[in-house]
Amino acid sequence: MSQPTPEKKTEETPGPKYVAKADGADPFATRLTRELKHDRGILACRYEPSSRFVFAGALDNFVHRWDLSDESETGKREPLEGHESWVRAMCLFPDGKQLATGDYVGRLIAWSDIGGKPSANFSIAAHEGSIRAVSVSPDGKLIATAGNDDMVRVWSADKGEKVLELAGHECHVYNIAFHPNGKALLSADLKGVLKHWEIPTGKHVRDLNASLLYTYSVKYTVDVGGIRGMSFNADGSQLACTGATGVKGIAHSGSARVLLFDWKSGKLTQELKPVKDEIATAWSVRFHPDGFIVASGGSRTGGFLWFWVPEDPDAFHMVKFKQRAPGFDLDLAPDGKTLAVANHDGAVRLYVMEAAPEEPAAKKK
Amino acid sequence: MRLESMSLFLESFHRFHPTPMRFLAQILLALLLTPVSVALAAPPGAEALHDSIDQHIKTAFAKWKVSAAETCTDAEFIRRVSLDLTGVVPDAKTTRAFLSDPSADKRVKLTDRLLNSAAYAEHMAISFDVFLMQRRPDKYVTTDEWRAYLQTSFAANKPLDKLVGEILVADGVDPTLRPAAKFFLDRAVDKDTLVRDIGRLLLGVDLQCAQCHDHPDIDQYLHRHYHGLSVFVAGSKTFRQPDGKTVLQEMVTREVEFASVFEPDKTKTTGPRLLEVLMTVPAVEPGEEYVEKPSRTVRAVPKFSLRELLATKLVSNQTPEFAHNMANRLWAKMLGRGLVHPLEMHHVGNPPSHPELLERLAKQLVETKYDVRAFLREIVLSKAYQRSSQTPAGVDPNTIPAESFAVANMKGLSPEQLFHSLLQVTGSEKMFIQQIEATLQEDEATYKELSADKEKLAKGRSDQRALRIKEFITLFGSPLGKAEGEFQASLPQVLFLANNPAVFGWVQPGSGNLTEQLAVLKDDSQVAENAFLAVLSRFPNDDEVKLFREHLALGKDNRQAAVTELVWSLIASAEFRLNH
Amino acid sequence: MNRDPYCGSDAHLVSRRSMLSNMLTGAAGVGLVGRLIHPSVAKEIEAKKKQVLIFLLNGGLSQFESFDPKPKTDTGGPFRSIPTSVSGTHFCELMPNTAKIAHKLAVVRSMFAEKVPGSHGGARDYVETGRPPQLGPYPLLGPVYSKLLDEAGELPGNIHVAPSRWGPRQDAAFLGPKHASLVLSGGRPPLNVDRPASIEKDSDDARYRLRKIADLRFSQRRRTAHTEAYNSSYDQAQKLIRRKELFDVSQESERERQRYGSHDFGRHCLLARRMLEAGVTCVKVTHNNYDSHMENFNFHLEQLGEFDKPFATLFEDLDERGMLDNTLVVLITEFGRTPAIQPDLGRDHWPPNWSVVLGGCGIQVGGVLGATNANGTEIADRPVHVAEMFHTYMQAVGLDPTATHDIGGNKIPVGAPERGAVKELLS
Repeated sequence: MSQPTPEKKTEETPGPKYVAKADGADPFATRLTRELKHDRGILACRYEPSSRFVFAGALDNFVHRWDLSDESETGKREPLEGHESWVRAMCLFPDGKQLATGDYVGRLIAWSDIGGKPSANFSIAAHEGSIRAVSVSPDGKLIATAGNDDMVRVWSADKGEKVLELAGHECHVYNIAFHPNGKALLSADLKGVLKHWEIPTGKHVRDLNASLLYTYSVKYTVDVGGIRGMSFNADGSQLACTGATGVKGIAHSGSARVLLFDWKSGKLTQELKPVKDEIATAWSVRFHPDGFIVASGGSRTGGFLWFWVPEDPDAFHMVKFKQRAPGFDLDLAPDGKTLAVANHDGAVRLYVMEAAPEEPAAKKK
Repeated sequence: MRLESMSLFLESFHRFHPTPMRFLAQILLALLLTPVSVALAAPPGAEALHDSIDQHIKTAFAKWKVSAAETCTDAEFIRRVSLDLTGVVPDAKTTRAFLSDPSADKRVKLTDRLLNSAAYAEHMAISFDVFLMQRRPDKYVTTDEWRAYLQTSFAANKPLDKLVGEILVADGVDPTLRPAAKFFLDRAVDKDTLVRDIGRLLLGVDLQCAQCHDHPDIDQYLHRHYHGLSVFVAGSKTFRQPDGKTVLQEMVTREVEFASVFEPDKTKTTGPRLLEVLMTVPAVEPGEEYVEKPSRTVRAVPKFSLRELLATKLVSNQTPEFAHNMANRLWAKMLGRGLVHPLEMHHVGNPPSHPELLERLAKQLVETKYDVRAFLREIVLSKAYQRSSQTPAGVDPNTIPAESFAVANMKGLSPEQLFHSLLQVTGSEKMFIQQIEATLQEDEATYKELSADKEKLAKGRSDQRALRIKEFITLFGSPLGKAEGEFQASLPQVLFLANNPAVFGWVQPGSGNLTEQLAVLKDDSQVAENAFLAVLSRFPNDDEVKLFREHLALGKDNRQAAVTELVWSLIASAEFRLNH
Repeated sequence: MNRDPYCGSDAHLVSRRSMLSNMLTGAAGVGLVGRLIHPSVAKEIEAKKKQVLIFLLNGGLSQFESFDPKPKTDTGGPFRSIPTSVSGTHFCELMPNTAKIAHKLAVVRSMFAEKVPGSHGGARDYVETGRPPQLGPYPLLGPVYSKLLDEAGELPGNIHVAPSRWGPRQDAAFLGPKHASLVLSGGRPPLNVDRPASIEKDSDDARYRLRKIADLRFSQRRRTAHTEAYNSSYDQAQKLIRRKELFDVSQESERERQRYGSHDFGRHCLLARRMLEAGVTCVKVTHNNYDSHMENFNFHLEQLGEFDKPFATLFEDLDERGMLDNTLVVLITEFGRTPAIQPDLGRDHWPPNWSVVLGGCGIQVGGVLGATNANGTEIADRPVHVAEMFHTYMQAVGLDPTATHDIGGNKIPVGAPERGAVKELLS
């Protein structure tokens, strides 16, 4: 086992604390266990269900597959060719055997046999300009993409044939996710508009409002914001959207936020804030099955993990990375204990939410 | 006046008597002291400055083959001297009284009244602020504090060398003298900016081009002058006190190295120099240079301060350039053009138009211990100052060079002069206050908050006033970092005077202002007279009265509009816009 | 200073617009002096009058995301490069329309300056004056052209179509407020160009008439320099007020407005064309904002998305109207952006090398001058200093940058005396 590195603990937070479930993840015990290093910043990371592999997109033109079973600290990395620009859009198929990725110049690739010898099943020009996000339907039959051409498109997962062309967004579409029930598709744009589309018809059902995550900078005459991270909880009753609010133009990030929505009503139920209102963007979020919410983010001032319970807007815990690099993406390992974080400084870092076995359990705050 | 004549006397005495005798003489004179008029003050044999001025100017007429214009009218005089000494045109009442005063010495009396007024000190504070800080934005010392300090100094007629010395030596620690540190602090103690500004503002030499090499065009401005001056300021740095205030500290410096960009390998060094004069600095034991060593918690204080040396030497007789520069600048302020022109280019290749006169002026300053009031008074009393800006009939004014001072040079009104004069002549102070209030009330929520707190409301109002003045400064002032220069007209200036709603509001009838008062007068001649006296500080001539009558007759259906048009035509005229 | 050698006589004081289309003066070739000009002479004048169009991309345009792309490198970012109309030359894919007119442009990829201030204002002054701002205030390009190139006709010598929050500025330094840019904040008409709502036109006319009479009287037997300048500023103001529809871009056809786009920059470009057609000597259009310390790629996407088409449209429109031969076009920014991509996916300020683009009058187009290395971290060939570019901007329109401004007896060189123009750029 690699040397455990206790992460910096932070100050007290008010409100109800989180109590780790028996044998569950303990956010307060979060510690760095492994660094998968690369010479370019990492934009996205995904666990593959066996936990042997982590897939990542970086500031280069590859999809990287790290083999964690490799003994070396930094793991064995294999770059997969096929893309022509950076990859941030990434989604596993539900069967865990395929992966859909999208790049900054609009190419969508579906990879098969990702646990063995990955190869491109199909590769298509899906959008004019960047694909910002990709989602695979729960039944594994559809792939949805969102892009800079303001469009949402749905493709057949096996052949990459266009199934739906969904227009309606009036600006770049930043994120996309199928609802766990497979009957809805949600797309989210730069200005904080979320569009609910009915699957399989593609009918536009309603809009949700996340405009808190968007600001127009008068000084710089530019749009700032967007829904950077988006995730449903397991049963789809809740939705989390991440980004930043009150942005200070284009010289600084704003204040990181995670917005919680009730899916049924479509209403905003909570505005989750970081501990000290750090100047940062929240880039990615996951609902943990134990009931807490974890997000990663940061800015040039630092990189962070934040933890909340949905009832309390203030984070109950915050981990500041040693490296001053934001966590652009976050994924929860199948064991529910490890978080993979994609860092700007060129590493995927694995943080375990559990006290190291040799050491006494970390004091709960 | 008294002080000035006494000191003249004393100075002449001092030339011939050693100190103890002078002391006795001082006591005697003090006992005998009574207010004396100027005519009696000049001791026999010593020519009063204003007479010297006229003598030198007159002698030089032959060089340009010009003859003098007539003396300016009383109306021209009161307007000109009010603007020059108090920064605003005289109000109608004062003008009327002055014009009808039959006394022979009324101009002298007026001059003395103005010189001793609070408005003089305020005007000099503004002038010297703009002169020394060149409209830089505030950084560590507010303009208000700084102007208050200058105003107190001018009200007390602080000797100019003392004032400049204070400004150069202030470290910002002592609260009373802190504003004086603005010169250094608000230039962020930037060495190059300081060297350039000390050179051109205080010594009248623009060493900018000598930063990298000997000045390419001016033989007298040498590379070592630039760097020699920089030694004095190179050690000065800011220091943030525990109470949050930023002050100055000084690291020990003795010399700087420099090399011309044309000969980068030939490095030279220099110690502190004021132009050619190299200062001797006492040697200190290494390790013993400081009273307070530099540290993070205490500001560094050297045993021997170069900035103190600068403050002492620059204003002393060892640096004749200082007196020449100040004399030249004060002359330029009043006469519209320096004897050395441009003001920052004193050098052999750019001689003064009247070299001996400049010497005389500089000497006067030194001998009167830099008594600014006295100096300005002498200038005002001269014929040269009181010349008309109109040439004698038959002479083409464009053939008379400005540097001859045969005809008065016209100056533009500074932004502050324009603002204050416009407000006054239109009688719109009340309306202006209402305008400010209306602006504040535009934001209901903020206004409610302000009204609850007297101090905040007062500040809000004064901020608004400052904003309005700033509009004038942006349009009519000189660019950042440049001295108030010659008159220059521009398109945005005209559009502003013609169409700005607030300014035009002052011209339209309301709140008891001039137009409103004029509009209800039945007698059209009276309208003309009052309008001219208020706006242009003179009586109208017959043609002008006729014009008013005709226009008012034409506009009888809307008298208010007709009067508005007439009033605006006067404030928008060159006669108002210029100091003539 | 070199004035246009043909300009000495009254005959040449005619605005181009009045030559081209008699709309505003009402008669063929009636100019300032009210004389009819023979068409052949008119053509000659037309051919000689030089104009300048400046695009200022405020904030620091990233050379990687525009004219000097480095795709697939560690510094190049996610965007691809696209071929341009010049074989072998590529621009970033964010500028497809500009790429199509590359053969009419000269791209300099090796612009640099030393001691560039970190502040945008200071750095902007540097590129627009050719002097480091530490030397003190120098006049910007617009005021310099106003002084040296403009013939003080009906219209202001230089106009700046600026973003909304930008106000008037004393940018003429020692040339004086007469030559300061007329700033159109947010592309709106100049401040105070409309007469106060409370007076009627005849009242307006009356007050100007009365004012003029007063001035005439005052100027008797007095030196005329100040009074003439003052009077002429009123005349100029009245002319401008009469011509204020010039600033009303809604007077252009719907079709034109669509071609240029509905966002601010598009409208500003159309406004610039309108004013250049009317004969304004120098027009500057500033596009806000490129200072992408954060989200460099998103923001350049958005800003260049706005910039690319109107820029190319305006350029082509000038060409189509036969104006390009006599109009210098300059595209500048105050510095480049860092090769290293910062944690906010931004790029910071980068003065060691950046790009500037020229076209039109006096410029040798269709090529690239200078080069940076493979990943854009330094200049590999032919460094070009900011001050050299300033000389070039002067020489391209027939001005002599080695001449001096004569300011109250002080001779101040137009261009920095230790530099010269870039000969490779001049045709």
